[in-house]
Amino acid sequence: MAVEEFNMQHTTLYRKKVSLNMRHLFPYLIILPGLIFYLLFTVYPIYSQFQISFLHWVVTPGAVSPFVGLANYIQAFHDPVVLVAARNTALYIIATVPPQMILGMIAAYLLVTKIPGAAIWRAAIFLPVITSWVVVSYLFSYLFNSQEGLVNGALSVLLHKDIVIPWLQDTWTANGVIWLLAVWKGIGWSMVVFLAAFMNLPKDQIESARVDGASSLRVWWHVILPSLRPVITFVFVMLVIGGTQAFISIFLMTQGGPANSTQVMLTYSYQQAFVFFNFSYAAAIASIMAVLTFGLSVLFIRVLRERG
Amino acid sequence: MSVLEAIAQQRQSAKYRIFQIIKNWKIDISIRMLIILLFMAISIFPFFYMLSLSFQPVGDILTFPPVLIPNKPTAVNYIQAWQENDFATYFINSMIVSFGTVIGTLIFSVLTAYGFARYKFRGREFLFYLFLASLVVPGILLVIPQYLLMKDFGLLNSRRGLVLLYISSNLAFSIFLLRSFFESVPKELEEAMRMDGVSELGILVRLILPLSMSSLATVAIFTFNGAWDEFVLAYTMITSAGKRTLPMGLALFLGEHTLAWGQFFAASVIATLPIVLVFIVSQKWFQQGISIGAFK
Amino acid sequence: MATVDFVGVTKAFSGHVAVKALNLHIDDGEFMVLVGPSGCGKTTTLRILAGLEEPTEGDILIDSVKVNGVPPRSRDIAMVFQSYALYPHMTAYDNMAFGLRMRKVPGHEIAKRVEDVASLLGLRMLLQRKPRQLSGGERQRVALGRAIVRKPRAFLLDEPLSNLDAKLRVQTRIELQRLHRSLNATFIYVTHDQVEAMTMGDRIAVMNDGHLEQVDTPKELYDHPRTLFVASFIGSPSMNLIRAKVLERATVLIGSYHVRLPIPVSQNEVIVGIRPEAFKIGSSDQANLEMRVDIVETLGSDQYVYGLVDGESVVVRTDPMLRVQQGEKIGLIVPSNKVHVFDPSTGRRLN
Repeated sequence: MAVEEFNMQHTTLYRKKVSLNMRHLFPYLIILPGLIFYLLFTVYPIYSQFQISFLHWVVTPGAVSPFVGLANYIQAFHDPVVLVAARNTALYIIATVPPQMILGMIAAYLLVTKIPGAAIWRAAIFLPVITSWVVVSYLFSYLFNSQEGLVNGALSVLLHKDIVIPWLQDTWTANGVIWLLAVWKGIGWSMVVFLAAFMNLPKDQIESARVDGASSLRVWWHVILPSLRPVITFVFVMLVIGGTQAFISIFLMTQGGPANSTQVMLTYSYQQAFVFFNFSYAAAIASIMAVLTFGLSVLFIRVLRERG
Repeated sequence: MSVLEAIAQQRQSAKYRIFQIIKNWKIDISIRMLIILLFMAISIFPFFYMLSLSFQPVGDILTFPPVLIPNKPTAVNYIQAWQENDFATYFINSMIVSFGTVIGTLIFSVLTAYGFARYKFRGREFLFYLFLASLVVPGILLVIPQYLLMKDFGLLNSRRGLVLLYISSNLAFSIFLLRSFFESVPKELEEAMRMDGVSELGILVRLILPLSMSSLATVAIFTFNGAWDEFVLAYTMITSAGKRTLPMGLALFLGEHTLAWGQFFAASVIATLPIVLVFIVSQKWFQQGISIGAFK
Repeated sequence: MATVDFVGVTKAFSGHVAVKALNLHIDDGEFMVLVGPSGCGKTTTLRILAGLEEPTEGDILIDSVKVNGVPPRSRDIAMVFQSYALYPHMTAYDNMAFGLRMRKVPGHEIAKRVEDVASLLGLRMLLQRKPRQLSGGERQRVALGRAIVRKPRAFLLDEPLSNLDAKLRVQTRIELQRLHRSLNATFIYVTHDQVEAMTMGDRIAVMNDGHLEQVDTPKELYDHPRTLFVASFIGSPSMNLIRAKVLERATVLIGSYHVRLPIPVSQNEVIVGIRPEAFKIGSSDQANLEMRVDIVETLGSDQYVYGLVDGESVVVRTDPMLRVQQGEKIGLIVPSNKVHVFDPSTGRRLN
């Protein structure tokens, strides 16, 4: 439209008001749908979970759920299963995060040097990452099946006698299998992240260090690792958070058994809610986990920021 | 003795010679290849085994010691898996839910990321961190309240309900990824468009989106993956067989057909195919997307 | 084709004022250059005219019609950005056609205009290429083409030559001037390079720190700079500016030498400006000043001699045939009609 028309339609005052409003409102308008969605389906549930944990949730529709304060939390702290679940969760993280990081870094390092067919190996090692937890959980259940499992079969062949280890029926062997599954499935992810980091290393700094006469080890320590620090921290935080989310493998492989000895916090919480219908109690356990995870992550991110 | 003599003497020693050999290029590469092949073998083997099992008829599987390569490979497991217990239905349900999630996530995250990227407004950083905060809260933690919320909305046992929850859980990551990409589009391009008379939304559609294709693809792939494999929410909320998604179908498979491992693995292979296909096709985009999104 | 007026235009950002009370008139069909160092406000001024920024105070008029608040697309002007801002996902053709499509120009008309402009700029073979497949010079021509195709009232160019290599720059400079003549359009051109300004502009507006120092033809700016800033900015090597004490009314003391001023002044101290080429080399008895030679730059067609006159740094342009050595003393004659006199406190010209 021409200037004259435009000017005719808007006096100076009106123009100022309209342009002020539109320009101001637009960003709010455009993020509104996503924001509402998020608030409704993610933020509100976080809040409501805490809310439910302070009540005694009654399942019958229409009934009022009475406020019980910290009763659920106190019960949780006295519950021996919660202790076991907490222990398992912690052990899960300790047992699975370092191997994923180290092996992932090694694999990335090997791939970044010129090896024929690198793309194929990379894809192959990444395959477990994108496969469904359901599929691999059952797969590993079968591999470690006491009767027909390949593992027992291979061990039997190797050791020339019948090996019938009840992998998933015994607490610590079951945990071992669960951890092995986690590491096996996760190496590819940290490998890919480290690979990208290796490719983005400051080549100039490395070359100038080499020219200055630094040995390979020195170059690693003084140039490469410092620039990898943010990546390492990122991978670490993500893996720890992933570790707290462990659910499907345990749920499908051991159902938390035998006798609740392989429960992790989330599986126990789920069981309490959907098997025993103790929603409030389950909410309390989940809330404890949420606070712990959030706290840990914030801590780690702070550390990342300071070093960054 | 002089320095030169000392060096010469050192060069003679066996230890040094071995060190030199190890540094030799050819052997070096062989060692690396070996280790990488080891990694690959370990990663692939279980799948290979699964594939092999899927081609073995029911009887053979229960043999001990177990067979690695089937003697008489048969596709009967696949046919049976597909035809029985509404497997096709589960497959279709997963497709519906996954595509719905991808579309919904793309729309909402593009709009929101665009708002964060191209406009300055009060509370922008606060709201952005609000989104980011959900990245550190594991999704599974929220099953209980989300279940109860869906119950209140009457969306339990509905694919719609699943899609809504899935979209919400993908928003934070997608917005984060897309925002940084949108911000990297030079402002002058946007100004040139303004001078050509394009509206605000027009700039989004005509400029930003075409340039962001690789990021959008990354978001789509991650989202599809996540929705396709999602188990916990689906398992918790879907009660009628006709609405089940694949992960649930697989889990219940064994319950209904105990010991039908061959069929189960055939079903698993079918269930995994779409993802593997998408992954292979998107190899290039994947790498780029991760390196952009991983570093702030 | 249009006239442009800036009336009392001020633009303040949080922190600093980029443009201060600018008053400038640009004639229809004129090639006006806005020149000045980085941060002087020239690009901001251009963007205000484009409609990408709104002035804090003051009015912009195009063809005597006030356009404050009018969105860029309605001002009927085209802009060529410093980085060309070509749409990476579109072909050269689509880049040039885009603005016309947005304005709902019929398809056949678009095709005709784009083809014509492409021929004009030598782009016909490149129309189907995407920007990343074009060289820097080709991209720049597409950016120009995109503007020309719109047939705007005025062209705004933001440092269009700064991304080109030296040789291409000279070539493109000439092409731009030809283009201006053939289009007979109003060009408003921003640059920090005073050579570009001097060679291309019908008139030049010299800006510094948000102020308009002087707007004049190149010759006027060169011969009669009105402020110290303009005097030192225009001309390369810069005009020699020497602080000197005033003796009897029309004479100053430079070091130990007496130099006559063209006019009498009332100040105690003035700044004397002499262009390097204004000096004449002479023998000691004719000369006003004596310079000890420090560095000699031979450029083939010119020679510049840098040295000291009683501690003051001076640069002189000489005939390339003249042989001088470091440490030598040469005599300089200062024709008083070539002397510029400035007030040291205001920086304004006195003669």
